Amino acid sequence: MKRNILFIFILSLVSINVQAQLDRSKRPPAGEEREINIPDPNVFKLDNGLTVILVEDHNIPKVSYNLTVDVPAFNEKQFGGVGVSDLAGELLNSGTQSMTKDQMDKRVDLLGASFNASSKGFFASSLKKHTDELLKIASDVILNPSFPQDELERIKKTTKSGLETAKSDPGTMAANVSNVANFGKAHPYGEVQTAEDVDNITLDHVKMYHKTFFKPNISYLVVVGDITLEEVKEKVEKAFGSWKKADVPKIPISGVKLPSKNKVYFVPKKAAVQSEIRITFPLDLKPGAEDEMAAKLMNNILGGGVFSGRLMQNLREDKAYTYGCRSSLSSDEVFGEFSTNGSFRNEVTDSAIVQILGEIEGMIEKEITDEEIYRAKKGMSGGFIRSLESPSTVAYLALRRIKYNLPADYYKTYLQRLDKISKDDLKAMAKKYLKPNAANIVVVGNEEIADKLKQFDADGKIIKMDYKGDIIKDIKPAPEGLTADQVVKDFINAKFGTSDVKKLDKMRKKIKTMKSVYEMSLAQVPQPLVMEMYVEKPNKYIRLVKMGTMTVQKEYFDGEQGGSTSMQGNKKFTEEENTEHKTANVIFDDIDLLTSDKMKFELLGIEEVNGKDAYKVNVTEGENEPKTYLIDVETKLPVKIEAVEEAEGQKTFTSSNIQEWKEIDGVKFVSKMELSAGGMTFQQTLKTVEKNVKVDQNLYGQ
Amino acid sequence: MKRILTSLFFAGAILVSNAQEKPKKVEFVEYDLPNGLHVILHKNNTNPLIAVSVLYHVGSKDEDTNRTGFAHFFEHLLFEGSTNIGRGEYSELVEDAGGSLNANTSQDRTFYFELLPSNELELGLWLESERMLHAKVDQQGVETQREVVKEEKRQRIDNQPYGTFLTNAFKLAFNEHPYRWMPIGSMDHLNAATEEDYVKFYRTFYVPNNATLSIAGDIDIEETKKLVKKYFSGIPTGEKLNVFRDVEFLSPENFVAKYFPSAPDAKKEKILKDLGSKTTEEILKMYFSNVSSKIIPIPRPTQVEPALGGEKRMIVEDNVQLPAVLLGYRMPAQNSDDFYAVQILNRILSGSKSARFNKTLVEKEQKALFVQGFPLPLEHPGLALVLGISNMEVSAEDLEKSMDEQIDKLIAEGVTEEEMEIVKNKIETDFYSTNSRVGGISESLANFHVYFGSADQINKQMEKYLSVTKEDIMRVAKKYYVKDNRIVLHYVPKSEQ
Repeated sequence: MKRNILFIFILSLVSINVQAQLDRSKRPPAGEEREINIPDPNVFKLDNGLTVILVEDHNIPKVSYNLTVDVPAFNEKQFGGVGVSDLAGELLNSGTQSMTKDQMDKRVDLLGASFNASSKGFFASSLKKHTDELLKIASDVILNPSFPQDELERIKKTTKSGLETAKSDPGTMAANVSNVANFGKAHPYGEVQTAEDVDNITLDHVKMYHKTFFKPNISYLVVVGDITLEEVKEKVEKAFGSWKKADVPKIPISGVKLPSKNKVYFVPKKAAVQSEIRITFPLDLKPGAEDEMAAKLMNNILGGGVFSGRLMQNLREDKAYTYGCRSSLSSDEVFGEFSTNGSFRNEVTDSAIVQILGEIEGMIEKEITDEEIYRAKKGMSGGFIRSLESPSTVAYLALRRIKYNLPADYYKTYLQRLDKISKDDLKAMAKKYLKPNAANIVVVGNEEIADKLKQFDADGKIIKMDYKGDIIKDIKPAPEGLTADQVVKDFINAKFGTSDVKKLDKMRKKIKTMKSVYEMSLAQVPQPLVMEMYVEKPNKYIRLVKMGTMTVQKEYFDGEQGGSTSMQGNKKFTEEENTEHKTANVIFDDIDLLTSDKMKFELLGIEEVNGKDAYKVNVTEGENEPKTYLIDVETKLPVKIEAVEEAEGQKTFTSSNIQEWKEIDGVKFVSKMELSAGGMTFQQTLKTVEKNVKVDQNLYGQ
Repeated sequence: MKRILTSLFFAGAILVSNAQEKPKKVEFVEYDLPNGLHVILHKNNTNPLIAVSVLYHVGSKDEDTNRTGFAHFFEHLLFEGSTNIGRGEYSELVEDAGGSLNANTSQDRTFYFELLPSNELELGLWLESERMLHAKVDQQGVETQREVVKEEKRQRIDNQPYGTFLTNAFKLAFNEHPYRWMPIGSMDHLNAATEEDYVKFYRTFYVPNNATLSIAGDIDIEETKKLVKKYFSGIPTGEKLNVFRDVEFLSPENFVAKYFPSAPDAKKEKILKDLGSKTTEEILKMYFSNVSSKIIPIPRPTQVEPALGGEKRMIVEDNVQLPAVLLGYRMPAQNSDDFYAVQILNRILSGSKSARFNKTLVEKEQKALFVQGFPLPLEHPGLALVLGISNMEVSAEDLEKSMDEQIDKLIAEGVTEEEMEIVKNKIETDFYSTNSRVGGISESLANFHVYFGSADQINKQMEKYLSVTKEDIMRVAKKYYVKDNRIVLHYVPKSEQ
């Protein structure tokens, strides 16, 4: 008996000792893992097609409503101007048919609630006791917005002020230029808002946006909080049951051209002490695609989420070039994107690019270690589990699953699928998606570092852009003694074989009518279009645009008046337009450059266009805005013409990129060109030119 | 008819919101270890997650005038490793466990935290106790992090439009008190720092009696208490901790030279041998059993900033596109009663869409793109700032005039009952949001303990706010929001000058 007691005593001493002797040299073992439980949200649909997703959370007495209208990507330029959706969203906060903005703001604030509408819906959150009142306001905003004109003017003004601040913010500058480099300005993702866009947007555009896209059948309402399914069913039906469903048009958008080699885009920022560097390219990866998870895991090893990514370890912890360097790889319904980002002191800008490109290449070429894979998987699963702490994440996952039509157990099996990704899978992802030799290298920084960037461009040239992604041209001075008049004269000579006004007049007199046929193509229209242009002395013309045998658009001027016919309806020219057309020569109008006394020229210098030197000449006719001609120094023929044209009260910048001139009967014609206007780009090819054909006089008129 | 309905609605809303419920209490346990470490535990088993955080009561105001930026620099250095954790392993260990970690530094404190799956509680405790006992700082770490911090300054301050406004505001508003510099500090000071400086700073401030360990989430209170004891109770205090760190970080020769300069050679020989073979604890037991464990008080800044004594102004030419106006009013410390009233006053000016600055300056007069006030919650008397960015074609002078009009109007006419309701209802809603995540709760509890002397302040805040009256608002407006008590900064585009 005694013995036993002694034994127990010794044992207890041992155990005390064990506890006191902490071995600090070893990482303590993990305890037993708790199972991860992703709650199943309740999902139901209203009769009008509104999908409602509910995640109950009774921990705190709050309820939030988040409406997502699944607006498809589209060119905002064609809907009034870039930023029309944001303006519409902002304007939704400006009151309804039954309350002014001031009343609405006060109602929301008195509830201690938050409410914010945006271009794609709203977010509303309050304590449970105020949820009915808040939902009433939210529903009124979506169903009966008032869109007051004075509010639009105010928001336009602040938007323009906001655009001003973007001019000096390196992050915005880099984002704008990356978008333009990756997607092009004709693509919805490459559109950059300018003050001109803001000016062009009217109340009608805003209303049109709301009318076209705010439909319940493409919308999702996510409800999170201290509320039951029964309550939600009743409340949401009451608030949104009367919202009318309607078809939402599918608007075609242009495709994305992947870069074929490394290109450097440099954005000068005055007195910058750091370079903001992004190495980026578009990639085709859809949400929920089979590759998605492995591709993201691969990116995490390179420089995603975790601190131990290769980019962070190399550029910060080893080289101390930066406070942080990361990469992102995103999937998207239209087109995804890869991008690295970081800010680096001026002196190491080039070294940093070498290292980043090296790390991207290293993912393809060098081994990915088991340790890296383990860490990246743990980082991703840990992040996933931590995010579940917030019920709104659970709701977001459900929304994503439903929106992209993913399998019901997509997130339940998330951790298992992650675990199964192998080293070979990751290598395959790196090979497939990373393009260290076909990337856009965007640098926002001090002018002094620009030269050091040339080495990274496949052609040894850098494209200089301003903060909104417009190319900045370096202008060299024109040779001394050369005048603008001479450059224009040389052009006429190159085109017509003479610059003698009398001879030119004679040439013109011989022609009564002319018919030219062009083939036109644009990304948004699958079939090529044919344009037939008839001109008849002195000022009459007919322009027909045909798709197959059908005429889809027509414009004419019969000497006295003109107009147009299209699917949008018929329009007559205004008196002003008629007068303008009356005085215009339609045959060989370029000759007017020499003969008209209303023309003024200014030689600005020499600029590079597509790798060749061109004279830059501003041509101003009377009171009109100047047109800019870029005339090839060697051939003396224009390679580019830029103009601001006004149509229906809106100013649109147009740019004609002339790719080829062709000589027909001694006169040179533009045979191939690319015309960009208002976010659209046409390719135009000249098929035939005939002189003195018979013009069907019935074509004049509507 | 519509009008009547609307006003009825307003009345209804007020009635409803008057019925404020008492928010659910945040439960927690708190105690001190004998070495002075304060421990706070909050249990919430909803998700299998925990937050482990340590708040060191050291910020930029504790720095030597010639070594500014040190507290923040230490935040970087203390991720470098410890006696048992190699360089770069802090983040790896946490990431491998599926967790995340970070830290931040203010004028008053340095805060480290890990968010971990709850089965990794012990890992979090190990990491934090290693940092507290014997963080290791080598020359390579110092060199690297010094450059990283310089990049941080360039990225966050020098290269950002208006990025220098806090630095300039505090420089203008303070002459005596160390709030006159920002946590990022001076790069020259960091360049000039020696190893001795680092050792001194670490030993002065990184001691258990200057730290608060706050853990929130999926824990068992009793089990956690045991583990806290396991990892933290062995951390010595006072001179003993200094010797402990010397045993580990000085070379044996230097150690002997420092502590046994006149010992006979034979004894020196033996100590050298023991240093190579025994654990630190054993060395302490063998040779330093008499060394003092008495807690050494933490030096605190004692400078008291005299009253500003008149408006101070400064014009900053910067690479910005729109002019900006920054007003800074000298304020009492965050734990003073006046500060609650100041916060409510500030929200009446700029806390919501219907707030005065937004309604008048942004929406009606359209002078500003944005106007926002933020009273900085500081331990010592600090500043309440109001930042306005001009709309296009509005000068800084013009905007300042309009901002002044609003402040003067408030002083002259007071605030309405409705405005008080709005703010108090918002504060009630915010209370729940802040305390909905384990990370947020662990930080709040630690802050309240350190700045208010009681973690339980988390449950008393609401009452404090609700007890503020219209008269209190008037009083603090008249007392603090006056020109003699403020600084004014104008940011103007460089090209304009």
